[in-house]
Amino acid sequence: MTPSRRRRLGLLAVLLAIAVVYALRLGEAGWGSGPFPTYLYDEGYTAFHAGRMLARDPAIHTPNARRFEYLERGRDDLSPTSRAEWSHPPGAPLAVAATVAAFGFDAVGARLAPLLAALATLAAVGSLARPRAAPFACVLLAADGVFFVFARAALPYMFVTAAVAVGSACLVRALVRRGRARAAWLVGAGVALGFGVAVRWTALPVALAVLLAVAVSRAGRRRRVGLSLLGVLGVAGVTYALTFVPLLVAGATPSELVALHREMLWFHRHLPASSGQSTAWYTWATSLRSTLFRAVPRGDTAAIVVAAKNPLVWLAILPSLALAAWRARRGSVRELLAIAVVVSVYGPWVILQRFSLSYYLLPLLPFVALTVTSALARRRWILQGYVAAAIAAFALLYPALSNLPVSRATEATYLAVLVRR
Amino acid sequence: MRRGVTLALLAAAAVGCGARSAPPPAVVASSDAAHRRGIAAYEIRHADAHEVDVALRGATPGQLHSLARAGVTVQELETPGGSVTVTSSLERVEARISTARGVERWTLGEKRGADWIVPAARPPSSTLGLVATVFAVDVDMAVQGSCVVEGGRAHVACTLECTRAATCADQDPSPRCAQAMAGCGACMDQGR
Repeated sequence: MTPSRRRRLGLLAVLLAIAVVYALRLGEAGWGSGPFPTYLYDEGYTAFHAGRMLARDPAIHTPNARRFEYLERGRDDLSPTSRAEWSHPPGAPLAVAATVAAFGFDAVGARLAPLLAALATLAAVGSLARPRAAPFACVLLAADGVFFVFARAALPYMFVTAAVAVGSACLVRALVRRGRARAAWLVGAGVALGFGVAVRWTALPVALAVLLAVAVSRAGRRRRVGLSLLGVLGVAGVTYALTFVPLLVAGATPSELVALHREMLWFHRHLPASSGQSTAWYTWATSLRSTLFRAVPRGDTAAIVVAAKNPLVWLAILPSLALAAWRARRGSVRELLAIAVVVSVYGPWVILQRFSLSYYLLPLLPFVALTVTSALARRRWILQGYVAAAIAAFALLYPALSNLPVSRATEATYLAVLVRR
Repeated sequence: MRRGVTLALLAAAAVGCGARSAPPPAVVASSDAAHRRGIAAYEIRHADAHEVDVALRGATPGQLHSLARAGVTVQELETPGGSVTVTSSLERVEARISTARGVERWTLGEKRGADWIVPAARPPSSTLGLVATVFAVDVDMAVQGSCVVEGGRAHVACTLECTRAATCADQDPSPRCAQAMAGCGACMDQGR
């Protein structure tokens, strides 16, 4: 067996092991059997929307639909806070609807979509990493609590993360291929980045930054990919538009879609500056304060789900940016991509005047893992120690990530350390 | 939402998902808060972004007309047991009731600075029962879930606030209740 084949098999084994750990207890923190479903955090928007999409409920594309409009299609899936995600493009509910259609409308069926997106992200990280660092990059990323929780909750952000990582991997592949193979990877990049924008508009600056990074990289300039990247933008635009096709087929006019976009824009421009667990952007990469998704007391025990930051990943965001900037001086596409993603994911939140949460940085975590492991790849024992420490931190956080029953004292400790800072 | 639907059906299912706001259904079953007030179903006569006109069916028949404009929501409830008009904004909630002696106005809550103040003088319990019924109907007539309301002046968990208002209006004259009534009233405005 050749060394490169051995490395590929090793990476595959690592991905399989991660998949098993991630799939364990996927249906925990389920939706319950009370008078209304108890969705995990904002699953009441995304998963609810996906279910109603399959039930052909016209209310899901009605801005500010009234409760009676939703009640017409039943109340079993309607919690007090759930509503359709009309304030965003329909990418995330579409993705969740795919697994719900295949496996049923329950916590497992809805969460399979983000789980698959997480695995696609890890595969893209494996592809983007230098061969010797690839398994370490995947494990480091998988050891983050925020990445873990979002892989197991029917929420939009893992889809953006997958779109950016897969799109970037496709672009890097395209740089080393020719002819039809290159065209296919470029189309793949366009589809991925366009889908990311169809999940969250904040993926648009990321997509543009990624394309710019590739264009100005040494490899990009040598292969003169500028025009091809315009084609990628075109494919991305078509992909974005295609996510709205169900509306057009149902009889909506283009002017109604424009009006819907105007409503979305208005909604986001009028969101309050602070709400609930929002935190200031400048604390996101320096504080371990995390977002609480659920805390349910059960007698002497409690079960909690916190999108808990692994310090070995989150506190490495700013150093990895500096590291990537230093290493990018020779025009390496991987480092330029890392800079582009970190800056374009983080940057808009410095400007936007609406409430915001630290997990909005999720799409940049794959590039932090890539940069850290790439920098340490030549000092193998340091790299192994770093990733081992990240795994240890993940193990410590695991009960707070996975809805495992813990004592009330342990719950209080987790909340004090991770949430109430 | 049955299990086992093939992926191929997804596209077909999605075909029907894009229609814009359908005409209001003629009769809609009420949810819990209204049910507890004797309202089994609604006949929606008119519903647009700012105005709702609904007939109430069940042990408490009646009619609610709600008009929300420029930050003020006026809701008139008529039942065989009496009539009340609830006027709310994000700063004030008041009830007006017509009796044999004339029109009585009651302030249910008022915002002073950042705090809500509840006057010591309270309307009779029969009036408060009608006010609670208004908010019980609002649970189903207001914007569902969490939303930006009042032209962007507030972000309200509408169903939760209306449910709270329906429960507390005739039981708990607290500042939080006054805030819930104001928030629920704002949630009747569907448009920007």
